[in-house]
Amino acid sequence: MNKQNKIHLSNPKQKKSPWVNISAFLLVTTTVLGALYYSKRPTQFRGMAIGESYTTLKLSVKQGGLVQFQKDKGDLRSHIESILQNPKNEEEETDATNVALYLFPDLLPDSHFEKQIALELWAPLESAIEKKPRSSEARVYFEELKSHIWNYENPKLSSVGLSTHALETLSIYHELSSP
Amino acid sequence: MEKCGLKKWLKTLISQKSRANSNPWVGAFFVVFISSALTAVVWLSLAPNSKSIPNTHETSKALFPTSLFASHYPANGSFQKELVELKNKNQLKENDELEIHHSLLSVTDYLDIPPALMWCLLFQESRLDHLDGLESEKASLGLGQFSRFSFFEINHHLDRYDPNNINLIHLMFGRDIRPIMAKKKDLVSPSSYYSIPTAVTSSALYLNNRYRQLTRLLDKREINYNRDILWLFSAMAYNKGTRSVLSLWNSVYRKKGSKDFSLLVNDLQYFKATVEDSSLLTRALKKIWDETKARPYAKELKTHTQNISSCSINPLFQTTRSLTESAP
Repeated sequence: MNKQNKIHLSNPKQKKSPWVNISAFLLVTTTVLGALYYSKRPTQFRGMAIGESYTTLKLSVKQGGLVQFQKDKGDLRSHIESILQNPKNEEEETDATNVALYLFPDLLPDSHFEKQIALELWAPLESAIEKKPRSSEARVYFEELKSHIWNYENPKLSSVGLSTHALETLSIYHELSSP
Repeated sequence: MEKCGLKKWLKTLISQKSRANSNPWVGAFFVVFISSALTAVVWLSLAPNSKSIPNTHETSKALFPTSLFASHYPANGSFQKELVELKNKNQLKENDELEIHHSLLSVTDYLDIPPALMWCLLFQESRLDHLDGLESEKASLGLGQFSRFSFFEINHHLDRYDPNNINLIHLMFGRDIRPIMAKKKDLVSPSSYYSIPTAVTSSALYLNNRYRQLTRLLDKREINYNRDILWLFSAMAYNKGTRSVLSLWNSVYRKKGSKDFSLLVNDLQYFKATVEDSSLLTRALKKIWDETKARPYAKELKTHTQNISSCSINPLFQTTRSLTESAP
């Protein structure tokens, strides 16, 4: 009897701590949930440099039409929103802020002095172009948009020129408003 | 009960009066006291109510009763010397100078722009050459160095910033002279930017739009400002775009806080120190352009602002150095 008991007690399975199972369970659950969350985030713009995201938007206007453009713009919006909430560094934040200024000004914080200007001057024109793309009205809206952005950034047309973000935005809406 | 109370009070009053009759000094004191109280009430009711300050402009005027701008301009030695040279070489004709001066006084009076600032801005932009760009294919033309986008704003978005803008055009020309263009073949047409009154009016309207754009942002956030300093910021925006100014505002507000920002838009010395800080300006403009573009642009903006400030600000508010330094 004693011998049997001793053998039973020395069984390694019996000695294993319950914390091992708990840790394993937590690890697996976290991994699965993390993977699920990551896969649900917009895939197209994840890990992409912000400059490249403009190229993607331009391609979607040219090749995929308005529906594809609006879907991709929505994905970019989520991407920019997540960066603005938790930027990795100042450079990334500046880049995301500049994209937001010209495409999603409502994402900028209220303390940002440029937000109101963007909401008043070009956000309504951009949505008007998106509502009637490739029409003569869209062309008129685009001319207004171009004038506002040039006057806002570089009224003297000096060699410095427009910022990359302004140029990319104008290029997208130029395409979208071309008959 | 109430009637009894009233009777008691009347009796007390009568007895007081009868006592006052017995002592003339009490009566005299009573009269002096009542008349003083009445005078105080009338005086207080006529005094300006300090609690109801209608807007920031009023606040600014109350805080800064004296204009920062000079009544005689240019205020700096370098621009005075240059002006004399331009006249001696007949590069600035007397008639043109007079026409600029008359137009400038009319438009600045109507739009409430400091005349010194407007004159210095035009001098800095074109050295008062209203035909600048006529013989060349420059992108910016005339007295106020207008570009095609500046014309677009005057021709299509005039009432966006200030409903009074169109009234100024009617006041100056008797009708709407738009579209305004750089008409090379019809220099004297009121619709030509090469015509002096048109150039001065359009440039003042464009400057006024920048001022309205900037002050509207501050008013919305209930930030008090000195209107003269806001005019200086508007001159910066005229030359280098509103975005450059707002990028600087964002940098100061974010890095230094609301107290320092308040100083920036209220204190001339703080304003000057900030716009003369090359590294701060470059950092602010790097939020818009890459370093290769931001650095020279910051340098241009600094020089432009220094020249306009030293030319237009009253010498009482300037240092000897800022008045004599040469303008590049």
